Amino acid sequence: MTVLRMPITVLEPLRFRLGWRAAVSDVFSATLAMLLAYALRFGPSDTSHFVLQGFPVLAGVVVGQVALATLVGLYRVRGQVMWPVRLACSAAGGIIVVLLAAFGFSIEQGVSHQAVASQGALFGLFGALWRSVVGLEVRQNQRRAIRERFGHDDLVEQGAGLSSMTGGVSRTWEYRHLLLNIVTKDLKLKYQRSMLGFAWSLLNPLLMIGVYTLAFTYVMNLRTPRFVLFILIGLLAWNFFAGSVGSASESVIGNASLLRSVVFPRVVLPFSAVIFHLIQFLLTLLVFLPLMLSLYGVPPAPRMLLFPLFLLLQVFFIAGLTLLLATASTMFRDVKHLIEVGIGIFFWMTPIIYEPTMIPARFQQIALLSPMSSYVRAYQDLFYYGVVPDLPVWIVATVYAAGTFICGLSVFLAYEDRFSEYI
Amino acid sequence: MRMDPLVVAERVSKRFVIHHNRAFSLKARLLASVYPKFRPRAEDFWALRDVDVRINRGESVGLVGRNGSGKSTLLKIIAGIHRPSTGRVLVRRGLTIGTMIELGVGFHGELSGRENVFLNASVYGLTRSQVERIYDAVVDYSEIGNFIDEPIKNYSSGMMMRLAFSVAVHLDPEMLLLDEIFAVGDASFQDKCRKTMLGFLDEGKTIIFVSHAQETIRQICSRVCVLSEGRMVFDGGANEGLALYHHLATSALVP
Repeated sequence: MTVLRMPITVLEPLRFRLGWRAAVSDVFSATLAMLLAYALRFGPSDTSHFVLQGFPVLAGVVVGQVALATLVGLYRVRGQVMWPVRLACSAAGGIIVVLLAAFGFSIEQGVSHQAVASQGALFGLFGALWRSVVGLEVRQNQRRAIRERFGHDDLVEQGAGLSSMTGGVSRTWEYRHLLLNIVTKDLKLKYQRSMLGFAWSLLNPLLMIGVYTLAFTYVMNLRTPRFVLFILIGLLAWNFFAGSVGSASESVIGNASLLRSVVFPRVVLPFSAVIFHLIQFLLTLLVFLPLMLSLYGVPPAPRMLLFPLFLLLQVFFIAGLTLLLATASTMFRDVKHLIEVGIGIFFWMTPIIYEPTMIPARFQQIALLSPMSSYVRAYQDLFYYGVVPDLPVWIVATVYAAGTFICGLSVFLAYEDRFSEYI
Repeated sequence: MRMDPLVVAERVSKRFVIHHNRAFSLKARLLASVYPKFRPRAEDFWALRDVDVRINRGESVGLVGRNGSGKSTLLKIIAGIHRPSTGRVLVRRGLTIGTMIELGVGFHGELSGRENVFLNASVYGLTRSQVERIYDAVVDYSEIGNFIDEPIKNYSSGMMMRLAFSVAVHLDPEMLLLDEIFAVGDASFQDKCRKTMLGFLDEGKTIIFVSHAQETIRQICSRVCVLSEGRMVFDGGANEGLALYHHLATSALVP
């Protein structure tokens, strides 16, 4: 055991265990990520110009990231598994600060909203990569220590390798039949023994569309042409999001006895919730969309082939967020209520029942950063406006998908071995 | 027997945090980081302290001890359900561990016995084709018969447990971890369980067995570990171990 505690050679000072070291490393990686994001956005030749202009923002971002991480008490906690949370916190902190700065001082030079989003994602990517190198080093050292002690390395530490990203993915693949069985069970239980069966899933959006149409076109006299088609696209995509995210906490806590008595990759649980809602989304879409398109005389067009691509991005985004929230709500019981409130708030901050063009011009860019906006707008562009989504939509959708998924998965994997104690 | 350690636990301790007021909320956490007096009152409880144990291939080890002595916690740490607070557990690379800690978890009353067998077996990591291969044997062993296509909410609790146990038995792991699960079914089924366990040992499998049933332990286990208040107080032959356990259990009755 003493062997194991030996200094991890070269990388020991960089293991991010203690307060100030972690903070310094975060400032460092935040700055680097920010510069990278600028370089990608403006090209290497213009970067120096923009960095000089945007220096106050850069400083603000870094301070904001570290401040948020400090607020949550991350730098006081010992233990190396806290890093994914720090990453998520830092990315969120940076984005919040830049948004506030952009609002408050209307700084337009040197900062672009896409740069903000890509900065957050790059920060996450960079940190994940960096720390996985450290993790590899730690694991190699453990293996060597075991070999020295027992003369062979047939023994591995129980649970080791679970919290690595690749280990998590490959173990989930091993348990794919469990995933499939849980989803089938949930679908069966939902539709079995209910008189209307699948019709229930169709009735719900139908009723919602009816109510919104009544309220907006007849009461408030907001005349959006082809309103039913417009709202259908947004509402179904939103339901997929709200359903998955809303069941995030239940997916883990609801299976308490399973977690307490069987070893299996816990990611299966939130994933099954996401797939369950994805299937419902696709089924309802399959019924309604062709119907509406033919009703309003929208001809099929090649651009609609982009739909699966955005759907894939949306699935990754939702899966990442669900993993993140499943972890948070297992560790902190009140997160469940925050999720409910958040779903309510973000529904109105997403252009589902109003057109994106109705948003005042100066908020247009920021409104795109609301979680589901980019995906909903992409679908609306494809099926309602009949155009290919423009660049900001592509960027935000991709960055959100990659960033959230990586952060969500790494946070979940870092904490899954504690779930059995927290439930 | 060749010394071939499957499990090596080294100075394993496990601390549980018992929250006295409302447990782990984000609100409490944030408040506590600003005002220390809002820190949730919590108490440490050490379920295990510095336990060293080495289990070799083909052994059958009984873990005994009074309630709260930490035997189930040790079993769960070996299984990988809990992680140790300090110390470490090493297991042989690629070792398949079967756990029977709570039977029938993940069973759903609305589903038929057949559907539940597939669901339950996949919780233990079996693929669909693997389950199909053992399915008939599972049904035979459980003695459920034609009820297998009924929703299991119509089963008696004994039938449900028999089905769950039958799934667990057919998973065919190299090492089995059992927690007090011999209270399944009637006397004849219990006898069948015992024979199955002895059959496993003949096949060279390893069993770790938590139980209060001294007679069953005597029949199955060649080695007994006695835990008391989280510490390993005895590790050796079954008869001496059980005698010590008997002494501990009865002396507790005296105030």
